[in-house]
Amino acid sequence: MLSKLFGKTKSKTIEILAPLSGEVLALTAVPDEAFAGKHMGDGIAIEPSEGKIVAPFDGTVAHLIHTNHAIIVEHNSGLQLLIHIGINTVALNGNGFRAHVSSGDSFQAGDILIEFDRAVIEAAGCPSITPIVIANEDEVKQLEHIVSSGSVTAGAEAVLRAEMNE
Amino acid sequence: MQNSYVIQNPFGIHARPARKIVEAAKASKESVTLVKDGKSFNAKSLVHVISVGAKFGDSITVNADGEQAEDVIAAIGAILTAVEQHAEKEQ
Repeated sequence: MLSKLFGKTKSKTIEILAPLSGEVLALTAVPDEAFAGKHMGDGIAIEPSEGKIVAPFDGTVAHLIHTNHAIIVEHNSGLQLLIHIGINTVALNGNGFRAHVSSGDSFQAGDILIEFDRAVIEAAGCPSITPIVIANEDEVKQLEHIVSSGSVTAGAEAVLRAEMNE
Repeated sequence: MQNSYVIQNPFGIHARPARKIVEAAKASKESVTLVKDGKSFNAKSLVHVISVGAKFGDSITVNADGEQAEDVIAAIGAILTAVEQHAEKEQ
């Protein structure tokens, strides 16, 4: 895009905070080929230790899936992140998930976006491992994995750093 | 050209089928859009496709231009009318 060549001389870098507490794993640990094969986008997975998703940066809700098991959040740079709680959890039809935001809402880093009940997810036979992936990779120049293993606390530390296209 | 399809998946077009639609749409260099209730969505954007919020029984029209239009529309139509395996074992 020609218009993008003007007015933007420096690339934008965004630090993405852990949106939930738990153990950081590679996407390849996700028992779903679409995520494990990075077909949904690059990122990380977190095995949750508590049922709470917080905002990974200041931004807006690009889309909350109506069953509340997944959310796409957008940073003002245009970066879009998909947070998908558990695997095959669409089948729960919203049971065990409580959203604190709606599509279009603004939020600050650390605000609670969704609460979920791991017991309900696991009772349904779904893994609760949560992939966190870039939803618009075409606009991201580079994605750096700051944390690739060990435990993290929601909203307390950056796990990914995305550099946007200029 | 365009064609319309009715969603057959009980869970609608959530993250996974949405990604498959984006991949199919990107096979075309031209614009590919999904239309639901008069609203148009870019089929090459994961967020747009998920934002369609297509549920079981909804009718979606796929629009595409260019030489590959027919193939792209058919590929997306196959995803829109597919039923996921994990959906069948529930309930």
